[in-house]
Amino acid sequence: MTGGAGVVEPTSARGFRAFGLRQIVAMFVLVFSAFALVLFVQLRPDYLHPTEIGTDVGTYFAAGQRLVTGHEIYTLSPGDRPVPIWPEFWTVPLVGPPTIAVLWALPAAIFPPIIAIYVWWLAAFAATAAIYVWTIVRGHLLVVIAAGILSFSTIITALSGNVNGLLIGGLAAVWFLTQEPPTTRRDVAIGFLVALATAVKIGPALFGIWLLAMGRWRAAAAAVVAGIAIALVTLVVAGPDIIPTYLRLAADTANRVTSFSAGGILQGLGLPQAIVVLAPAAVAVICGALAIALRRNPRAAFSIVAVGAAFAVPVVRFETLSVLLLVLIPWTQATRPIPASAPTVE
Amino acid sequence: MMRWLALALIGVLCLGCAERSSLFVENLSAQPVVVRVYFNSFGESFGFRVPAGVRAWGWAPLEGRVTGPIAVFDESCTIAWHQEIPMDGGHLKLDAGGAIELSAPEPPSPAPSANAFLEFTDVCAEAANPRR
Repeated sequence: MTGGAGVVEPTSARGFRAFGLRQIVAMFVLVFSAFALVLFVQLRPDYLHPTEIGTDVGTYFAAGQRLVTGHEIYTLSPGDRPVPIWPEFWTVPLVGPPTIAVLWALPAAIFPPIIAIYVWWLAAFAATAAIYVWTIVRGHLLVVIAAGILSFSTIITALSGNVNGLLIGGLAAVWFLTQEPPTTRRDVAIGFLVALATAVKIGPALFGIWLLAMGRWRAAAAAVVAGIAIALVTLVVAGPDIIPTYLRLAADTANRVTSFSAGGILQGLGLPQAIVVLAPAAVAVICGALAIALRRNPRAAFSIVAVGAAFAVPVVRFETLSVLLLVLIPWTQATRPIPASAPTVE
Repeated sequence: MMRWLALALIGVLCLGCAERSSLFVENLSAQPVVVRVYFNSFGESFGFRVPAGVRAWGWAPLEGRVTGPIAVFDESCTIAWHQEIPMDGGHLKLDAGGAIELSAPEPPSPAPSANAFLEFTDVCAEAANPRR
């Protein structure tokens, strides 16, 4: 920054002026989050022991272990690692698609639980924390405030090692990769990340629509190919019956909405169950259509599909709201037009 | 760098050795019961159907502690007994007179495959966490 007549201000003066409201709020949110993190760990010391029976990571490990031992993925057999249920919300030891069990089969087979569980937990914590801190450090004032509002749910997600933490990191990477000039390698990476996230949580399929809306045909095609490959591996490893079993359980889970979900909100408004059950699908359709309508505004379209990915599921717990960090990611760096797919030289 | 990684690995493995639990259940009463173990203070739990006269593992020693509480229900899901379970699990014994006692966990059996495991059940899962 220069003053009048080309006079350069002293560095200290520039630094003082630069330390404005945004920086003060960002610092407050970071300090507040650090205190909240310590408080959560004191209230729930088990968060630092992800091998405990009943944790999210333990649930994934147990699913992989059942697959390795030839047991049912969605039923507990005698001798299995225990996994709690909560009839109000779920009645099976694994709520998501079978892909997570397939992902965990190899670690469950070759690593001691302590290694497999802690490595995942650390990776999920690091991914969530990195994206959260990035959002606060690089976002403008409103983004910082929004991230602060999501602090509690983000801290719970980070500490629990839930797969959502890795999804936040992976789908944020999708945004960052699309901000670079397209190459075959980048597009394959983008497609693979979207396909894997979709195979684990379904909702991120909306990011595939975003890729199409942005004209990233090669990345979208890579997502389709990777999705088919992941589905085939899942079918081979878990057996062909696993898809109908999962669909039956997903239909049952759709009736158990939580208060934070779109269905739960409609239920709270007194709407009939037939409409409540359709809420996640409606959210997906609306967000997909909005993303296409907003195709000239990549940031807004990305944020819309991020909202859809968070709410296009029947069970949205408080900590699930951390996925909304993805809404903020596009607003953390300078706008750059997204280049469409074009042949490039690697 | 490698030295730090090795130290971290040893630390995690030691932690893992300390984070073990098991549950062995002995039902010497004439009535079948349901044993449920809760996860923290929440409604989450897993349970085992324990027929009369059965001695079996809920879970054999494994890496992972338990946070309890543990509760015993009769067939109509009336809670008969509950207690905080030690983090390393325990040995739950229902004697012929109906008295219930939770003691230190069974040592790992030399032949775990020879021991029976209890069936998991959803029965009484709707019952409130006794800690709440």
